[in-house]
Amino acid sequence: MRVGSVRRAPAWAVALVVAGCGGAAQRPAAPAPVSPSAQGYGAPSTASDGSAADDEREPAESTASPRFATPPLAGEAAPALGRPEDAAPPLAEAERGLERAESELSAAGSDCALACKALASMRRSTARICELDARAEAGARCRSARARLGAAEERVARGCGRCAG
Amino acid sequence: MTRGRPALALALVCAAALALAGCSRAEPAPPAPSTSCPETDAGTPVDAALLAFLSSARAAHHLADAREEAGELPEAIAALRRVVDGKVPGGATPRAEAGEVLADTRARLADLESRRGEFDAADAELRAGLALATGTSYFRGHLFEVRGLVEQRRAAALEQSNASAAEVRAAKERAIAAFEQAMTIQNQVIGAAVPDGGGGR
Repeated sequence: MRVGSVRRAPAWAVALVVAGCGGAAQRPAAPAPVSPSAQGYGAPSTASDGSAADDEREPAESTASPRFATPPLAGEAAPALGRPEDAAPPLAEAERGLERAESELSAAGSDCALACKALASMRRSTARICELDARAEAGARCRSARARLGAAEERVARGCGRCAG
Repeated sequence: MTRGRPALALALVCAAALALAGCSRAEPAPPAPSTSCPETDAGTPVDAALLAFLSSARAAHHLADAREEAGELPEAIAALRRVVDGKVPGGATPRAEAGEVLADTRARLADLESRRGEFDAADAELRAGLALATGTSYFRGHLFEVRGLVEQRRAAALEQSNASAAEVRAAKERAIAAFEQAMTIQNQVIGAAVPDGGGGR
């Protein structure tokens, strides 16, 4: 049963990163920390958020600046590289993707940990039924329990892989 | 059999609660007793009373672990009884997390009571636990599993005494029925957690 916690730990770690560290990282030097709960994640950026984001984009612009050593000809479409408004969407998209993945990972870990716990309970119950049934009758209820357990084991194996322990 | 599991369940609940509480850890000095993480807990605030309850319940289970390891069942029971007899956030209608902890604690109490031959007391714990865990859940399934165990122990005790064969048979039948009920519930839990087609991961 302790195994369940091991299976869950990574999902929690991710959740903690998202809930706590992730939020803090966006406000590295905020003089008066505002709880993410007050703003909500993905809320409109504050002054510090904006400056932090600008700071992060700064190196990219300087790296890209050599490309503008020769100004584009009149009428030629200016390269989009380095413009904050164009650089933001891929980053935002990537962040959304990361959040989605983290959320899915967290949910999967939780569901599979629960399934593994329930399966362990079924195993214990089956063992007890067979212990009791063997003494009493022809073992039909033991066989039935084993069949149900086998089906549940297959289902969990398909959905979650192997339950640790 | 149940040792370690209640502590685990509590650890799970507490860790989940702490993860939620982590959302507001940046607050310098929370003025209100409640902390809320609307983006992560969908409007179910983890309040200070609940966190305190979860923490004290976890401590009680740790204490019961130590007492049980020392073979001191009455002391282990006393430690756990403080959880179920103490103040519970939400009172008569405890919050889901508190209800799960109480149900799990009742299951462990039933196990311990039956180990010392107090089968009726064990049954009372199980009935109280089942009244808390009314929906299909791991905790409800676990309570039925422990009920099976209690009845199996009762059957063994009856066999040792001069009880009639019919009494022994009846206790065994109750045990098997309870284990089967546990299997049905846990199978439903698995079905919900791992949708057919392997969508659980």
